[in-house]
Amino acid sequence: MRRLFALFLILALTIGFIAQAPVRAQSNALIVAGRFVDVITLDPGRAFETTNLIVHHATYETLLNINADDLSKIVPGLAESYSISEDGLEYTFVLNPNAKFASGNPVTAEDVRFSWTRLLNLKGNPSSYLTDFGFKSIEVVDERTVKVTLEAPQPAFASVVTAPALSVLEKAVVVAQGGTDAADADQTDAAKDWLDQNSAGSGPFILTRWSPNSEIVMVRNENYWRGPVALEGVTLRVTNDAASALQLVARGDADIALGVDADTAEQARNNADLKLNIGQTLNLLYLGISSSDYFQLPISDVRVRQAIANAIDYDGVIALTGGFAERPAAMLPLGIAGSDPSLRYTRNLDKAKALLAEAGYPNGFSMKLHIGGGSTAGVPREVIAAKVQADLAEVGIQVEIDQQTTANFLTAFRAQELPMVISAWTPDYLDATMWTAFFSKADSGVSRRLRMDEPKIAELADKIAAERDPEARAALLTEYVKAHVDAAIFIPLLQEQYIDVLRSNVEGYVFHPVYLTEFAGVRK
Amino acid sequence: MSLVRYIARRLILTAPMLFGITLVLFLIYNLVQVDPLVMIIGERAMDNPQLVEAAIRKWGLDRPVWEQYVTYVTNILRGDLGTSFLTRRPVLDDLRTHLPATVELAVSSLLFAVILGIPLGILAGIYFGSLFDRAVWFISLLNGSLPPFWTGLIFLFVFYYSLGITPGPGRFPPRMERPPTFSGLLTVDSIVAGNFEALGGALSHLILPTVILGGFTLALVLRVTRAAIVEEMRREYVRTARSKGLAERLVVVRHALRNALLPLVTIIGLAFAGLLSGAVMTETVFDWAGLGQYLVRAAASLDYPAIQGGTLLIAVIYVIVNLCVDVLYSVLDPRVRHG
Repeated sequence: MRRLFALFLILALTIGFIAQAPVRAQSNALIVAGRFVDVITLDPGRAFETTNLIVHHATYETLLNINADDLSKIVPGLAESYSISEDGLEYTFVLNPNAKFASGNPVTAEDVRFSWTRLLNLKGNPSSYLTDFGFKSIEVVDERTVKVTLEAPQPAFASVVTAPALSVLEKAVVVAQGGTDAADADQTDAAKDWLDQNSAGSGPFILTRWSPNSEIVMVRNENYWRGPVALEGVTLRVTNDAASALQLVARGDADIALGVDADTAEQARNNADLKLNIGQTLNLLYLGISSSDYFQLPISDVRVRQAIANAIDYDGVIALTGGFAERPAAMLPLGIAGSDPSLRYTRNLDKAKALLAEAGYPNGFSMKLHIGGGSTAGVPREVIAAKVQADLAEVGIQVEIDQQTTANFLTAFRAQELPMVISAWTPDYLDATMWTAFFSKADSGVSRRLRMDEPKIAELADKIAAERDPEARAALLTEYVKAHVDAAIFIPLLQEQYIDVLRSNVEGYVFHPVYLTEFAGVRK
Repeated sequence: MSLVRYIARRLILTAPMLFGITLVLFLIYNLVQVDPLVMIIGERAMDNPQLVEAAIRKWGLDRPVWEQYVTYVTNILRGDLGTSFLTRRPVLDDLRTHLPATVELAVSSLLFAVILGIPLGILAGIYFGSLFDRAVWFISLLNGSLPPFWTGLIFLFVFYYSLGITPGPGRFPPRMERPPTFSGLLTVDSIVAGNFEALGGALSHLILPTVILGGFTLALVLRVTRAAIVEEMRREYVRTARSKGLAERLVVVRHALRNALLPLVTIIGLAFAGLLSGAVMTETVFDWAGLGQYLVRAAASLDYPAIQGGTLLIAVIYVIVNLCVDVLYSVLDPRVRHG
């Protein structure tokens, strides 16, 4: 028996020794803990998720940029200037002569043509950045100049150009790895596997490894044409929940915990080693109420929908997020020119009851509220739904919550079979059409799913899409918001804020509503 | 019947079993009335008819069900488990990427459970009814009853977050350079690279998840060992051994333990298969990028090729482990072969 005890002792000592094994602090790379499990590929021509935006924004560059400090301003990127022809059909981009890839080779017009043509011909989801905007052709004018031709004028096109999917890849490198921009690239391009593990861009960092569900490693681009950045590298480390991300940051195993929930943020507040960075996203959570007769429900009466909009305790909904949320008046988020929060609904139970009585439902009615899974601003859908259910019960509307898996929910929603939903919307690019094109028309977008048919709103959306003068556009957008408030079909519940926990020595970190993060200016 | 013939017969019998599994998997897939297209091309692209049509053709969703099944089975026979909707990679590659993490944790947990469980079980069995026995019994009961996701969170909070004496979640120290991939098992890769600092890092990250995951198996092994020893120690052959003046240690090790081992083989085999088939909760709590996490994500996203491939792999693991257990049994106890 003594031998057994000796064995245990040795075992215990070994474990103790291993636990104390020294961990070498690696350079001043930034370790970022977050969910990051959505990555399918890191090929800019194929990726269409969220985390890839962070990686692509750090490793590649686009012709134009939109900085976080002013979302309405388009600034130069790889292109030092651009011009639009009188008819709005031709965009001419002139590249910055200093722009170089990580390899040291200059960024040329041919690289731009190759990258965009490849994106188009891969025919993956991100090709819609070009196809949805009537992209017709791209041609090389000279070494530093490219000309893009559209089928029809698209004032939003310049902001689309800032999307990471339209990043410029180094043609020579991609071709060497089996890449092609040929018409049948969707069958013949073989560069995906390489681009999943490496980058061929001109950004401040270079991708060196992606281990699915585990980590994404980037190192500093020593050849960065704007001058090497301070950080030696960035590692995105997958954690399954905010609590574990917070632990990593608190112990110094990570420098930033990305996108934590309100409870976790509160814990971080009490820790002197940590600080919070609150970023305003453009992500909206909305209540959608169909105006169609198809469902044979009282909600086809606009007064009933307005009653619902007046019955919701919006402050209570925001309180569920711990106060980390905002709220616009309609499906046009705050931060986008023309979005006027003063037009929004506030709770008014008397008015709600009066509207219901006027519509012939003084005692209310019953109906279903459909939701999928997931959460916004850290609050699960079912919690928001329960809050809306309780609020509506106060004016006599009995709501039964029907929660399905997200896939089932979306299938039914798309089949136009759900009269009332709570769902979310996140932008792919920064132009008002990212909302007006999807929440206005009877025959397309999210509005189609709710069988919405409001000619006035649809007409305004068309005008907004065609308007090139920023001021006239903002005025049209305010009118659009008003029309939406009156129709009470899409009622925003929350505009999510993004909470990042930083170690206090991390400086220069900026949240960006589309790319999520800017690592180039970070120091620690 | 010779041992070889016995193994051959068992192997042949597994073929229809695996075939049945593919059929069941496929039927479930077709009974669930959900459109996998949303998962394939994403919500927004559903409004784009060209993308929808291209996806339907690419994934063969327009062909009749029986044809899809025939293609599916033919592909499996060719070693092609299909392409995951979610990751767009061959399912076989995905499984290859995620299995090593699970194997590493499963082996480590099993070693932990066996190395601690059997000796403790023997001691508890010999000193049946003593204070030591009761203490061990209580701890094993606790271990077996507390859910791993809860104990995992508590252990992380106490030993990592508060005390800082163990590493946190994940398989490897975040600020350390990983060894080049060879087997995917970070411990093995570290040894291959001759990097002992990395080995220490990988081993240290195994401690907490091993204690949590292995703790459950440990409780099981311990209880079975204890019960078997208690039972064997009462038998006549033990009394005989004792009466001929054999040292107590030899009575236990040479006689009682040998017979007590038999049920243990089954338990350990099944436990190992269970550990390999993905310790979902433990992997989730410890951000362990293994099979369990992969399959949970696949299930949540209706990624049928991945679910089918993963389930098939688990079925194969069970079949192989069961086969090993039975073979080992027939070696330990030749009566089984004739039964």
